[in-house]
Amino acid sequence: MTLKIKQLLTLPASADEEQARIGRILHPVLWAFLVASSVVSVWGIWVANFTLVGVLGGTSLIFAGSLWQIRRGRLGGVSILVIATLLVMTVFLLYTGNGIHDNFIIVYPGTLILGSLVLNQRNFLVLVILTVLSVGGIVFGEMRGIIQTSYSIETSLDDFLGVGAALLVTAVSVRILANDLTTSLRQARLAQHALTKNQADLQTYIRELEQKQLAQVQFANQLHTAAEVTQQLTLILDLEELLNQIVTLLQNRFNLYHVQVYLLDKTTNHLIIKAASGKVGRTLREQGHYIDLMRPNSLVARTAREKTIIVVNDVSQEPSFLPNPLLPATRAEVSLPLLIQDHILGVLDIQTARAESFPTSTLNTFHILAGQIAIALENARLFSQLAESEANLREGESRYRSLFEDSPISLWETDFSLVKQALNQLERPKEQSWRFYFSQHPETIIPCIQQLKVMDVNQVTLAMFQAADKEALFSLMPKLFNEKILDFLREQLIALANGLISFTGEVILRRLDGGKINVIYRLVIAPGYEETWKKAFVSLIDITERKRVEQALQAERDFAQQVIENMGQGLTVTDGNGRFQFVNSAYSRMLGYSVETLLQKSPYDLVTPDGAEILFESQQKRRAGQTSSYEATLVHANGHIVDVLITGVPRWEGNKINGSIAVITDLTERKRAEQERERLIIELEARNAELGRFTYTVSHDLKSPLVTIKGFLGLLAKDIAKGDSARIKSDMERIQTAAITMEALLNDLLELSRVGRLENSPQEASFNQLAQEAVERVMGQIAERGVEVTIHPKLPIIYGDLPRLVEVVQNLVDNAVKFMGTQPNPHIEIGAREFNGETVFYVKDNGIGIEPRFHEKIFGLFDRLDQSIDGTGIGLALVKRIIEVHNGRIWVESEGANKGSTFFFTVKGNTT
Amino acid sequence: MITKRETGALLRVLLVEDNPDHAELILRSLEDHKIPTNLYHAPDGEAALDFLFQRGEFSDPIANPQPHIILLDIRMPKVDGLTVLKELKSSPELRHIPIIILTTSNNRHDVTKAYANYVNSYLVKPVDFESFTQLMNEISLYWLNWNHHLD
Repeated sequence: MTLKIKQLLTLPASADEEQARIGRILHPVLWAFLVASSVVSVWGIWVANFTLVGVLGGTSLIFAGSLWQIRRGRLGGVSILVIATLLVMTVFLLYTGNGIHDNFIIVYPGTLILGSLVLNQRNFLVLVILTVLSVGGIVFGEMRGIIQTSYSIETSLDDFLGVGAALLVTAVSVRILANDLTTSLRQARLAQHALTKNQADLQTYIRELEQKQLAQVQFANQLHTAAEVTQQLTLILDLEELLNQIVTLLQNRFNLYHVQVYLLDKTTNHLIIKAASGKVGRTLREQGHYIDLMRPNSLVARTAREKTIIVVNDVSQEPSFLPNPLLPATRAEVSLPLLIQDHILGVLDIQTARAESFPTSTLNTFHILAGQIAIALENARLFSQLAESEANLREGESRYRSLFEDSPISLWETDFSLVKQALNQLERPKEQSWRFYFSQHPETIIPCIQQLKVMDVNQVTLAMFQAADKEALFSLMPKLFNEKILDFLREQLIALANGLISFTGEVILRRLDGGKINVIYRLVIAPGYEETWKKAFVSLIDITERKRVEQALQAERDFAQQVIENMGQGLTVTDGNGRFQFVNSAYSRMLGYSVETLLQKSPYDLVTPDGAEILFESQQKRRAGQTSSYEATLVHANGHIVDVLITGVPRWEGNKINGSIAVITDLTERKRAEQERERLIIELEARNAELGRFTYTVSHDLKSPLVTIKGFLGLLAKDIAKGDSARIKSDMERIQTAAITMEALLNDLLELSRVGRLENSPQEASFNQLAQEAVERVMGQIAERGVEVTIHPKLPIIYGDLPRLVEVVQNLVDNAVKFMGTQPNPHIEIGAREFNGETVFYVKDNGIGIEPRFHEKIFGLFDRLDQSIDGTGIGLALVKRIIEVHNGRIWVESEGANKGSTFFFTVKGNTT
Repeated sequence: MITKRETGALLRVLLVEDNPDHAELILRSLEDHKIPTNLYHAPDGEAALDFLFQRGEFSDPIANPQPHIILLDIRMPKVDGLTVLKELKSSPELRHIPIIILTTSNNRHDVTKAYANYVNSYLVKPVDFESFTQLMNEISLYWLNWNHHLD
C-alpha cells in the first residue's frame, strides 16, 4: 500500500524525451493543484461557499484522475484536459464571482504558463484564443449586466482590451521562454546522454584492458609452454641453473675438457662468466672471472665482437689464444656467439685437451646448442619482463603488443570458436569416441579445422613462413592445413574435442615459397575461453635445422651401423674390464653364438686354451695404447676351431684408454684356400715334372731304338759284306725288336695322352664284375705262369669310367704276374676293405716284392726296375693317371724283396 | 752280372749300359779298333757300383779289378748313371777313374748335373750310324790311346 502511494508520488518513467519532460512538469503541478483545490474546498466548507466547494471538489477529482492517467502515459490528453479544466473553472469562478475584477483572474496567466510548457504549438494557440474569448465574454456579460458583481466599478471595453493584451503578452513571452527552455533542456539531455555513453565506453575500455592483461598472463604461460617444448633445458627458468646444466651436459656428451658460458654486461662491456664445468669452473665463477669485450688476445672477446663462431684446432698455433693458468691442458677451442637476431648475448666456449679438427656434425650441434642457449636466455629475459609488466598492468596493451610482436617464437592469436561449432554439428553417435569417429569419417577433419580464424601473428611468424606481410600469410591459411598432415590435425581435434585446453605436436608445414619447415606446434586455449574457444594461442618453434642435423646424425649412425653389420669381418668392442660391449652379426655368425649370448661373455671364453696367453699379451699392448695384429684360434659354438686374424686397436674415451676395438677375420676359408692352393701347386709341379719326364723320355727312350736300328743297319751292311750269316740274322732281329719297341712306346704315349680325360660317362658296377673282366683279359699270362687268382665275393660297388677302371686292374694283375719271380705257388688276391670310412681296393701278390725306396719311382713314366722284363715301363704310370682322374689315390705296400706286394687304390665317387 | 771280355790286355774299360743293343753296338765298335782292352759290361748302375766297390759277388779284387776308364749311360733302372757318377766321384779310392758319359740324353739338366759331379767327358750317342762309328773311333783313339792312365 505504501509502495503504491510511493509510486503515485514518484515521477513516472518514460522512454520518450518529450513525454518525460511534460510528465516532469505536469506531475508536480497536478499535485500542487490537487492540494490547493482541496485546501480551498475545505476553506469553502468553512465559509459555507458551497459553489466554490462544488467547483473545486469537481476539479480536484479531475486532477486526481489526471494523475492516474499520467501513470498510464496519456500525457497529451491529460495536458489538454488539465488546461481545459483550469480554463472552465476560471470562467465559472469569474462568472459566479466578481467578473473580470475577481481575484481568480490570476489563474489565466498561470494557465497560459502551464499551457506553454505542456501544449504543442497548435493547442497553445487554441488556448490563447479561448482565453481571450472568455475574457471578452465575461467583459461583455458584465457590461450587459448578465454577470452580477459586488463591485461598483463600471466594466468597460477598456478592461477587456487591458486584460486581453496583458494575457496575450504573457502568452507570447511565456511561450518563447518555454521554447527556449525546452531547447536548452534537450541540449542538456543530449549532453548528458553523451556523457553517459562516454562513461560506458570508458568502462568497456577498462574491461578490455583487463582482458588484455589476462591475455598477457596467458602469453606468459604460453611462452613458458613454448620454452618447455623447445628443449628440456629451456624449462629451467633459473638462468644460472640452466647454463650450468648445459655446460655439464656438453662436457659429458662430447668428452670435453672445459665448457663455459660468458654473458655480456652491456653497462660495463664485460663478458662475465656465468657457468663453467667442473671444479675449475666453480673456481672461475667464485672469482667472478670476466673478460673485457675489447680485450685483443681473447677468443671469447673476439667471438663476441665479431659475432661469429671461431674454431681453433690447435691453440699453440693461434696467436689470439689467451691461456688460462687454471686450464693448462687446453689444446683446441671452439667459441660460439650467443645471438638473438643480430644481438649478442654472450659466448659459449668449448675446450678440449687434444689438438683436433672438430667434425662438422659436432660443430653443428654446438651451433644449435648455442642457438638454444640464446633462445633460453631470451626467454628468461622475456619472462623477467613479463613479471615486471605484471606489476604495471596499465601499460599492458602496448607492452603486450611489443612482446607479441618481438617474441623470438612464432605466435598466433587465433579463434577456434567456429571450429567448435563445426565439431558440434558433426553427427557423432554418443557412444562413439572421437578417435573412432574420425577414423570412420576422416573427410570431416579438414572442413572442421579450416573454420579456424587467425586474428594476428607476430613478426617471427612472417619470417618463418617467408611472408612479406600478414595478408600474404593469411592467404596461405586454407592451404596450410591439408591432407598431408591429416594425422596431426586429427590428433589436435581429438584433444580439443575431449576437452583438453592444450595440444602439442610436431608437424611439417609449407612456407609461402613452398619450402618445408618442421615445427613444434603448441596450442593453448586462453583461460576464460575454455567454453567458446574464442581465443587460443598457437606457438610454432622451428626445429627444421635441428631435425636436419638429427637426420644427418641418424644417417651417419645408420651408415656406420650398416657398415658394421654388413662387413664380412667380425667387429667387437670391449670395455676396460675386458667384457664385450658390442659385437656385430658377422662375429656372431663366425662363432655360432647369438649377439646376446656373446655380450654375456668375454674374449677369454672364446679362445682355445693356448690362445689365452696371446690374448692377454695383446690386451696389455692395448692398455699401453698399441695396435697389433695376431693370429688366434677361437672355438665355435659347435666345438670346431675357427682360425682368425685379430687386429685390435685401443679404444679412447677422451684422453684415456678404455677397452679396445677389434676386427676379426675368419681365416678358416683362407687357410682352406691356402691348403688347396698348396695342393694344387704340388699337383701342378708333379704334372710339370711328369711333362719334363715325358720330353725326357721322348728324347731318350725314343732315340734309343733309333740308335739301335741305325747302328745295326750299319753293322748289317758290314756283316753282309763279310758274309757273316749268323751276325746278319742277329742284326736283323735286333732291328726288328727295336722297331717293335718303338711302336709299343708310341702306342703307350698315345694311350697316356688319352688318359688325361675321361672318355666314358661314369657308371656303377660291382667291383667283382669289374675284376672278373680284368682277369679274363690277361688270362693268357696267368695260365702261362700258373698263377692262382682269387676274387673276394661281395665286393662293393665302384663308380667311374668303367673301361678305364678295368684297365687299372688289368695292369695291376699283369704286373703281378710279370713280377712273380721264382715263386713256386704264385697267387693273386683281388679285394676291397673299409679304411677310415673309405673303400680301398687292392691287388695283392706273393711275387718278388718291391724295395721301399722304389715305391714312388715305380709309378714314374717309363721307369722300369728290371730291364729283363718286357714292357715299356708305362703301365703303372698309366694306372696312376686313371686313378688320379677319378680323384683317387694309388700306392704300394711291400715288405721288401721276395715278400710280395700289394697295390691299393681308392676311387672317389664323383669325377668331373 | 758283369759280362767280361778279357783279352789279357793292360787296359780295362767298364761299360755301364742298360740297353743290350746299345751295349752290343759299343762293344763291337771298340773291338773293331784293335786296341787291346779288357771289356766289362754292367747292365745297370747297381751292378756297376757293386763291381767297382768290390761288394758282394765282386769282393775278390783279383777277379774284379778296377777299370782304367768308365763309359756310363744315364737312364738306367734301379740306380741311374748320375747317381753312379756321384758315388764314384765322392769316393777317394775311385774318383781318379775318368768317367765318360755316353747317353742319348742331351737334356740340360743331365749335362749340368754331370759336370757338377766332375764327369770327365759328356758325349751324346749320335743317331746316325756313320757318326756313331766315328765317335767310337775317336773315343778309342783319344781315351784309350792317347789319354794317359794311372796304373
